[in-house]
Amino acid sequence: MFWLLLDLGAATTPHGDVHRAILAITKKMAQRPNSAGLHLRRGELHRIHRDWVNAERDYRRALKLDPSMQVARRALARMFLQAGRPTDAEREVRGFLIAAPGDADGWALLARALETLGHRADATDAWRRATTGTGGRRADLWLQRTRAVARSDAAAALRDLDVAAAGMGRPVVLDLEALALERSLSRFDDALTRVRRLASQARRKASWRLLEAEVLEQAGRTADANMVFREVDRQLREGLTRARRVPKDWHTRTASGLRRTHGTRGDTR
Amino acid sequence: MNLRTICVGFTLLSGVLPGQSLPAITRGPYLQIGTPTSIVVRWRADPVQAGRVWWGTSSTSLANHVDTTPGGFLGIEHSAQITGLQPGTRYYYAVGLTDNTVLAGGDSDHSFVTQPPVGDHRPFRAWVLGDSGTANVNAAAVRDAFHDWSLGREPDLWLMLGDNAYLLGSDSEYQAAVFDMFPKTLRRSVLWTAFGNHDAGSALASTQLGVYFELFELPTMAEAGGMPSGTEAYYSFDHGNVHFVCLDSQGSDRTATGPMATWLQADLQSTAQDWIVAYWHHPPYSKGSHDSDLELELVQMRQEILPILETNGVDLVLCGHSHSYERSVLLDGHYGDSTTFDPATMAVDGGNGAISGTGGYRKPSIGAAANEGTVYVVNGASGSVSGFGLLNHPVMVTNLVEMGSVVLDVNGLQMDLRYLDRYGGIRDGFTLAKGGVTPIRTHGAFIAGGAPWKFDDTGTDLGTVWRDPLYDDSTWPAGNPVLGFGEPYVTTPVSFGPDPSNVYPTTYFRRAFSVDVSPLSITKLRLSVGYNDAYVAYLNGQEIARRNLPAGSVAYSTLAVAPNEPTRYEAFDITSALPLLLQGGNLLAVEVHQDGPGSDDLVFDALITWEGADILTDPACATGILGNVLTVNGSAGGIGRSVEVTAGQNISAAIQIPGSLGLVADFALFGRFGHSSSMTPFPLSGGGALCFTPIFGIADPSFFTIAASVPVPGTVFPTGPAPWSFVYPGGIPVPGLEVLIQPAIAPLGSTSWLSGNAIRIVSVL
Ligand SMILES: [Fe+2]
Repeated sequence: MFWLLLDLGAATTPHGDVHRAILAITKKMAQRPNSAGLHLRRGELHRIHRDWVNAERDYRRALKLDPSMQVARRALARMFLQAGRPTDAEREVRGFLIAAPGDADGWALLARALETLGHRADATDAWRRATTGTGGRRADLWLQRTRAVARSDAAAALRDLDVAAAGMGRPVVLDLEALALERSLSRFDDALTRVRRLASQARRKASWRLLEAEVLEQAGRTADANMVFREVDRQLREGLTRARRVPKDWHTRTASGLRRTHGTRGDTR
Repeated sequence: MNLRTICVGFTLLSGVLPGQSLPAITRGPYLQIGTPTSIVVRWRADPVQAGRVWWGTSSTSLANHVDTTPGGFLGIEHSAQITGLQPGTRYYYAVGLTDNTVLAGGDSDHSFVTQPPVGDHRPFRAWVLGDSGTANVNAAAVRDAFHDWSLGREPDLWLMLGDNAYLLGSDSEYQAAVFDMFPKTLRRSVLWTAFGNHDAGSALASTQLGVYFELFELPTMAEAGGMPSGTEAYYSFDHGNVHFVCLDSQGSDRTATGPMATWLQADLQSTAQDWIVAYWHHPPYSKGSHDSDLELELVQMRQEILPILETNGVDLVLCGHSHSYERSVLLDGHYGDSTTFDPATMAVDGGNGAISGTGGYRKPSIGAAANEGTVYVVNGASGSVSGFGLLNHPVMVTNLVEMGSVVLDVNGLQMDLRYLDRYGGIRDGFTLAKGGVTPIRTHGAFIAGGAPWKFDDTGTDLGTVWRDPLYDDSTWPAGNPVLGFGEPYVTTPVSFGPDPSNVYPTTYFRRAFSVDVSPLSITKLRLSVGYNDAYVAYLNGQEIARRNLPAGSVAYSTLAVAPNEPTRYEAFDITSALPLLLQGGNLLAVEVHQDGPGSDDLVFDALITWEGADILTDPACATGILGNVLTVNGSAGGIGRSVEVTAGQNISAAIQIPGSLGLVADFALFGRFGHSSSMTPFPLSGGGALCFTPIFGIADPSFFTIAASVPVPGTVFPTGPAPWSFVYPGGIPVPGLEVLIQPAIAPLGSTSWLSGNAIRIVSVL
């Protein structure tokens, strides 16, 4: 089971000088040509570099050198999915899941492959498998599941998400996801309750109050929105006199919010 | 990991001895998740039995208790959360069994101080270890150097930056590298850890399962401040006026759109703290044993995460992984590889940040302001060093291949970071001040390493006259440290005489040095001596320290009571010698004694260093000393402090004086009404509408009584031991007015007051 512990991180974007990183690892491999771990690692770099051919070669080599390193098979499946080959991805990840039926990342991968293939119901089932057991407390998997399920049934996605989040101590990333869903479903009262709860948790409230103003505005409560925008504006100005500065976009969001809601309370600003 | 949630594990835990009947503590106790009002006490006892922890404010009266049910993978882990505590208060504790058998504690060694209130400005110290998990003599040397140098002061909190236990972060490796290595600090200070690549050998970040997550209990639901991350892999907490953020560069998604980054952004935008310190394992800038241009984790943390941190005002980043010490300039906006570094646009301050060098770093704003600069530290040499790598990253101002650890001191709006090597020497340091505060010296060296000593190695009995500052040593030779013979690291050889089997018993050393801070600035004076085999030290003719020699008078022929082979500069607290220290010229004289006529080596060097706050450079910095002891409305002062009250609210202030200062100074509190524009400079002689000047006459350094006071209507000064406090009923009568409460300090017997930086009380509507 040791291979389960191998942690590949979750690199997804092609960044940095991957060429040089590949060269460095290749140099290391000259001394340890039969290291499955190094092949797996270089495969990951090739995948990040979107060099599917070399990535596949390295993953397969890793598997051959150490057949117990099934995580290389999962990596291979992920690469196929990324490369636009969902059928191959499904085949590999199903093979992987036979060896590791409890692997949440494997189920998530299968779910994404099935979605891509248009098998919605099977995908939903795979997401359920991914987010039970150890995956049940993983915010990253819940985010993926929510986004996938929301495409067909946002209300159901929101309901499941809220139950999961409550069991996990309400990680802020899940709250933000739920907030986005509530706004998309025009459930503004729920959204306001949520954003106010977040504000109550924060010691610096301006960014949450700003969000509240934006939700109010979206809800058509322009006068209320204007009031909150003005309060945020006052807080930001006051902060400046005490050498407390905030990210620039807070000012621009506040200013544009004030402009949009201007005049709604006979405000002379 | 929260024990209630542990149900699955895939690693075997060690330390279980089946059949053993007498319960014994096999691990800990150790402290986790400290807050101003609560703390978690963890321990492992075997065999399995219900546990109990007792606590109280005195070691002889542990009046409260809570019981624990053993949990964890093997059911032998105890975790007790103690709640309902007072902030900033020392508590004593003991752990044991429900039949009241005490297994550990109930003494002064088992105690902790709860965190100060969130936002509080009283100074605190964090000790930071990186890659300390070697479980060998090197890690022990780094540990011992810190304890020795600290002169008994425990860190208020400590951090481990990952790779805390080599090679695979297994349970038995953790036992050796952490629990057996740092038992003393574990039971007295709260440890906060980051997840490194070697820790990932036995744990998985995505599921929070495995050894690391089983051993450590870390916040997931913002238990200690910040916003809930939902995972122990990354989290945040508050301590005093600092927001600490721990990221996972090993096992979590490092992309700018991933869950960790999303949480980070929300967390940073929700903090109102003066400072933000972030830490994780893989350094964004390093040319040590790891290269930040080549390795994915390092590249991603730099490209994806740093922009979020800098936009949201992070002040300091601490990492490990490279087994070296590398420290950057004050930096902003450098996200490419090392060849793309442009000092003109990316170095906010390209100097070394040392007040005695190019000046301390300054950030104009208080709190989390975007892009005013960040200092990056690679601190990965707490257990080993590696010479691999060119150590030439262009953002770095200091690169060292030397084992050691980081000491981080926070005092109000000033932060001082130092790198303490395993020999007990400070090898790097910088000061960072925010909000327009002038950086002040809070520590320094009167005798630093490297400068020459005068010595007499002629085998002559010089009696006692040579100790006198006025003694004429112009004919003595001089040489750079280390001085001695018989050791390969000696720079300046001294003579042992004509007969190696009958070496001179005593060699004399003298060093004139100058003191450029007021003794009023000093709260701790430290003598660090590397010696073989024994010494007596005299400051301006008076003995201040001796080691390895019998009590009573020491003659030329007196021999050391035992041999001593130094492994570092041994630190001695000589604060009580403060009255002997003169501003300007001083003289340290040291006689070094052999342990016998056949001794085949002699070693000597010494340093004198100080901690405090430099009043001479900026009289306003008396707050550096007094800020830690002045509280207004329950909130402790620090450099640049202000508090808000409502008009009409009572103002209460209290002052507590460090014992060392009682040797050399009197204290007073001054207060005045005014408008912010006319508040500075502050008139010490009481020109305002309100003036209160209790003067504390000093008799006993540990206990002060009020000798005289000039009360004004509305102020009440209780008598008795510190802290003294007063309440001004009614507070600020008119909205818009401000009150300054200002500590002041004067040399004993003098009436010329040096004023501290006032706590400014602003009335809000
Ligand atoms: Fe590492």
